[in-house]
Amino acid sequence: MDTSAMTDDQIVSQIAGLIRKCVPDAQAVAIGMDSRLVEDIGIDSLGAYELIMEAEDLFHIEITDSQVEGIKTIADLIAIVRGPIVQGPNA
Amino acid sequence: MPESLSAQVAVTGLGCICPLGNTPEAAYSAYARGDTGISLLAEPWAETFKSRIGGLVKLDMVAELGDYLVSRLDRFSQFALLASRQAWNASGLHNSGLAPERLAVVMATGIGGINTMLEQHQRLISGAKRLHPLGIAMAMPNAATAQISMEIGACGGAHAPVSACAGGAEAIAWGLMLLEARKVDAVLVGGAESAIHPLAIRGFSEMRALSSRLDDPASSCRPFAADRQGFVLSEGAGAIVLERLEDARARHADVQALLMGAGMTSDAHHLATPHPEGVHAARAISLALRDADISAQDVNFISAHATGTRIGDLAESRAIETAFGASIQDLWVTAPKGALGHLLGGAGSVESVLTIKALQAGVVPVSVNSTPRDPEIGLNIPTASEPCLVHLSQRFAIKNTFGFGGHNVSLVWASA
Repeated sequence: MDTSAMTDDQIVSQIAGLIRKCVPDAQAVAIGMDSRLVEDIGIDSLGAYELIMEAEDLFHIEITDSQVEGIKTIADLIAIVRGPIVQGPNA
Repeated sequence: MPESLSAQVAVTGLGCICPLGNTPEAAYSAYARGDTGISLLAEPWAETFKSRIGGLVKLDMVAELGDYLVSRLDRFSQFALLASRQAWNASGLHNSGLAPERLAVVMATGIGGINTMLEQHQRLISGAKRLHPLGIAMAMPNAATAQISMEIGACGGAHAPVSACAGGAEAIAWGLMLLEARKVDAVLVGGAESAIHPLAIRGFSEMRALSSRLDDPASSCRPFAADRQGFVLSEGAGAIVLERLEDARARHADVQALLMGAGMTSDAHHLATPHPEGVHAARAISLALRDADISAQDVNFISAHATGTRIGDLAESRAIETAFGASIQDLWVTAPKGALGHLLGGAGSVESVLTIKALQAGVVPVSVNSTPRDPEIGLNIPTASEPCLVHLSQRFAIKNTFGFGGHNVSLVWASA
């Protein structure tokens, strides 16, 4: 998915769709730029890994392990999605 | 009525997801009408396959289960969970105060999470950096029974018998034994399968086990018919809640049927073909009758395993003849797979649900696609032109189920 023409809200909406796959009862959680993955959304370690995998597949990017360590909020993830990227194998 | 009936086991909940319908009532209605759930597979991968027929479940799984469970469960577990919810809700046990330690689950599958396993393998060989972190847990054959135990809060054991196409009935037999041994007070049993995948279709096709009658998919599975070619792969799940009859009556539960007995044997013969004379299949039937404390003359009909293969149907016919002897003259034998296709590890449970509904209706369902009859098969088979009603206050039916590897399971069901 090409995010260059997308607004932040549109990307948040896409990521919210991914979070629904990774977190039980995610429908009940309001997801915004400042939402913290663990504290606000309640994602566990396996769910976080799944979210990264799903985000890589959806946005055709590859997120490095060091980048993964820094993802604490939705905004952190969007910055990686929008930032300089390493093209993944499915690009 | 046998004296031991008070010690028998009651059915207090049914669930069914299958190509004929997605509730027990819908599936039985279609079955009773003589409909089939079989169609040509439209997926691009099937285009060049010699056999490309299947029985697909028509259901929006995300709408039923939500994104999270669809993402975390293989399709076979999704079917198992939906069927189990139906059976559990129907039982009323969730409001009964039953202790979690007295509730068990036995949910079988033949192959398990083949879709997840092969999807993850495809990611691996295509160079994906990451695999699904729960891929192994989703693919394991006990994934469904584990998920169901979490959903209904069953802490008395969660078991997953794996015995190919006999699994769905074996799960029911294990549930019966758990109750008879008073290990638990209620058990949710069943079987599930979702294996309509190119590897499974080609694999069975290489065994010459599948029908390739592409010109008329609805009539492609032809149990006991002279022109039968093989079975048709289907998907889905069946679930049944069992309790001791005394307990069900004490809580004024709606007793839908009785599980009277079970017989389990093994051929010790071949990995994929049954014993040609059905010696141990016959013994499974006889053991089930003995366990139920009824005689062959008491049985109104058999719901046959009859997948539509040349060897299997003939072996089952011989097994029934051996087990019933002279009583076979009054016995009806119907084969649900002509309408349903073959759910592998789900077959014994879905077909048991259909058998229970038929007992409730007092009808021996028509054996779809079983004409022209194979002259080597000397059974009374109800057909559209020769239907059969059962007019008895107490009705008994046997559900036969056999699996690759020589697993033979027979169950005796009775109307409540």
